[in-house]
Amino acid sequence: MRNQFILPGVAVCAVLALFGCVKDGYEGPSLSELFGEFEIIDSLTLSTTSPNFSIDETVEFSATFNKPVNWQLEIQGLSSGGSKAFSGFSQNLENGAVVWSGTSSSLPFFELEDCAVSLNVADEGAVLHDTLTITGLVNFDGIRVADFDAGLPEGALVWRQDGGNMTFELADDNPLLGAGYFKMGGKVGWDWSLGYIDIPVDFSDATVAASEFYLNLGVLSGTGGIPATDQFLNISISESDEPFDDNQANNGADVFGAGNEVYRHQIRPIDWNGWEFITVPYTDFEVKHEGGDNIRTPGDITAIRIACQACPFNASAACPENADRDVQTDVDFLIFSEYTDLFGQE
Amino acid sequence: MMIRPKGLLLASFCFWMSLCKAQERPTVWFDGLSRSLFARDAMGAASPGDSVSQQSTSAGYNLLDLNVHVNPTSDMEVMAQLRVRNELGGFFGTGTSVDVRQLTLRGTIDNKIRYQVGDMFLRQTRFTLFNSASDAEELSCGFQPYRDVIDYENFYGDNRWRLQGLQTDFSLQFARFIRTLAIDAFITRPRGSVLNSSGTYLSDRLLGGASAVADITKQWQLGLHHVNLFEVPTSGTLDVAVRNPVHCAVLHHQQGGERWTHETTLHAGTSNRTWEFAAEGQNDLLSSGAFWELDSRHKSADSLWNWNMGYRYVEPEFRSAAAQTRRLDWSSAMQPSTFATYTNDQLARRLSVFDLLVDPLLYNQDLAPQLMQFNPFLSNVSPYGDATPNRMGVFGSLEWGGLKKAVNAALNLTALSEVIGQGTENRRRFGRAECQVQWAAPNVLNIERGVDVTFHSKAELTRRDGNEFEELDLRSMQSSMELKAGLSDALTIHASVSHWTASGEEFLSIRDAYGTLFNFESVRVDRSDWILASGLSYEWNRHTYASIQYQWWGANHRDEATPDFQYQRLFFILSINL
Repeated sequence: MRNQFILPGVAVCAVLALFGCVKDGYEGPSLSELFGEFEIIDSLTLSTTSPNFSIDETVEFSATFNKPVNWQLEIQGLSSGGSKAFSGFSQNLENGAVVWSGTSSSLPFFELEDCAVSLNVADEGAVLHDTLTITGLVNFDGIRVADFDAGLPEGALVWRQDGGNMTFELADDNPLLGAGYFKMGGKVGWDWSLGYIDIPVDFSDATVAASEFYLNLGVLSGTGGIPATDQFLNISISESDEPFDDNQANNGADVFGAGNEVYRHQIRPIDWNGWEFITVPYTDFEVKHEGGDNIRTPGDITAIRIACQACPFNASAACPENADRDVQTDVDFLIFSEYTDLFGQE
Repeated sequence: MMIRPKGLLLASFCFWMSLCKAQERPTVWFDGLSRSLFARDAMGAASPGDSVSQQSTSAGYNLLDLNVHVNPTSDMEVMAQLRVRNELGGFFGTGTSVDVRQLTLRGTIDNKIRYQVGDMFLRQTRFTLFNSASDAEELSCGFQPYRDVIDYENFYGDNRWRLQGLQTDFSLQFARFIRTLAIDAFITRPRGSVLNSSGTYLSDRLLGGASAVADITKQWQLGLHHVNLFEVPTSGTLDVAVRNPVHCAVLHHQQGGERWTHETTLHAGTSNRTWEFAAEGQNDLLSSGAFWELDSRHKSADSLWNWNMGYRYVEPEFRSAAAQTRRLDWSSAMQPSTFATYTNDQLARRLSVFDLLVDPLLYNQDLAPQLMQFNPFLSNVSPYGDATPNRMGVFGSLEWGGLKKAVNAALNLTALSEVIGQGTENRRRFGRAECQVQWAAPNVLNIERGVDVTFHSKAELTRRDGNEFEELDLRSMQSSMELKAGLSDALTIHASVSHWTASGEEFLSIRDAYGTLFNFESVRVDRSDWILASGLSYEWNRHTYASIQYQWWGANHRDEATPDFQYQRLFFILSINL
């Protein structure tokens, strides 16, 4: 009996002596520093206060504190109301940690305007302020397909039904960005489809995976009253290598028909008033027509169709109210971005 | 001659049965579980004013898990568990679902090597592959039906993780040097390649492992265990993959005497966790750790007394994903399934202990390579089970079963400290005392239908010295008590009371995606949760029973910004083991 206790006892003592030791130092940041008194070592500074983003200038922000803190930096456009926010947990903002290239975190986009800059350390009740003036607007990174500032994209085809109050035309009264946008709307009682615009593209330089390839598009609705019930945009992307528009008898391009490799995504419903900016990764597009290799490959994209659709008031008992409402799904600034959507760009 | 449909069916059945027998067709047999559950929740009289939320809700379901076992040969079995579930209120297929819940093929090769493919339930040692009990499940006197549901729905049986893959085991006998050698190996896929919300494909995550356990003599046993959780980078689009191999050796010695049997077990092992980055110039993140534990257990020959004592040392950097993954992940967005908001301000209601005891959807089934967040209100001493990193200290227990086995009393004590301080060189000290007493009165009073009393209590203490920013003192106490009186052999009436309380300060560790500790969140805990319950149960056997209960539950916060709440529940369950 006694031996049964001696063996484990000796083993415990031996192993304790060998390995059971505490370690010096500590894990993580110092609590005394984290929760101690807060000091600003270097106040907020900007690398430039009049950035011209159109020539790829950027603004670098820097500040130094005596300890790591949760901070939030916000740039607010004083005219447009556009904003860009950065946040982090660190002891300083320097060495290119926070660089702004003129993009926004959400709509609206910035204009040529004065901006207020605030660096907020909420846990410590400290806010640092500065200002800057935008002297040139950003050229967003990505493949710009259509901004409608100088007309329709080259080679684009527009088709629409013969309904009432049909728009499907360029306009400049309320663009999201730049000088123009494309109106898509009207009233069609017998069919879901009101019309579409087909745009040929060449994305052969795109090498990213479909999961890192984003469609970005501004959509305007509701400026003429209550949005029509179940109005939406049906976006088709074709990877067909057939000629874009050989058959002139078709309504629109040929590359979206059956037998072509086509993917589809619906922005549905469009039930808001004003501009919204939609971003969709290419992987969210579903197969519409099988063909080709049936693998979403950004570099193989040859055409894009933006189709305006809505619940018809004659053909569907579900939407009689659409007899009194015009469909409006106007679009602007169609751009594809790589690695992140447009609002994710710094 | 006209053959009636019923007659035709009978003739067909007889024909097929005779054919099956004549050709020795596969044997098919069934088992499973059926459950009906209904719960009606209502606001308690003492709840704060709330004219926005509904005052009561009810929900329930009927389900049948039918296990179809097919034996194509005598040494092979295919098992499929089919679930038919119908939500209460569902008609004509609405709310009805049919799922394949488990699918397993198992058998033996040449009567020597066992194998199984498909769903399986795996466990190794407490430091390599182990599904530790959750904080809330430890204390749940009177809540056995709920615990049954949670364990069953989440496949939590016997501290095993449910995994999918391939497993095989066999044993060898030797004439000299060692007596037997048992080999077990498996490869599973806890997570397949999936597309996440940001449009990125996560890689396949695999868990492989092997064990070799040798009986060297009748007294000595040596086991070597290995598990490795790893990701296959090419199966996803992330530029980082994790590898977490863990090695463990177990030396076990046992010896029996006339009055006592003694067992001594030494666990020791190491781990590596590496985040491997695909980008050139980005160094891999490696953390290595080790652990050991010595445990000496002693049992009297008459089984009246059991006691053990041991010492455990787990380094701060020891990482074992399959042993440290928690059932409850407090970093995820867990919400109450009933009364998720309360008061006229529609405040988000905090999860109470009652929610944790009754809602199986709160629990996690996925192994994770990072340490999950825990809640110091419920458990602060060993939140990741015995494999909790950064702990060293002694533990022991004493168990006594006396008075003609009518009383069973157990006392567990643990005194631990950190191996290295967090945020300060001062280290936390932990203490835990747990006591459980069960008194089966009939055996003592020689009454056939008597009273069973169960008392369970656990107290935890966490302290750290230091300056005003470093010192902390967190105390928690959890107690529950149940009375059960037998009205007949199968029918019992029962009542229970449970109470959880904690007060003090603690710092939660904030880690980045790779487990690096970079910040602390100071939390102030000062609340208590309580549950009162009473009801009737009719038990045909341990797994076939009906129970109807009425429960009153709530939480008291000493923080004025968080109003107290109180609710009631009528609960009925019929569980039938087929």
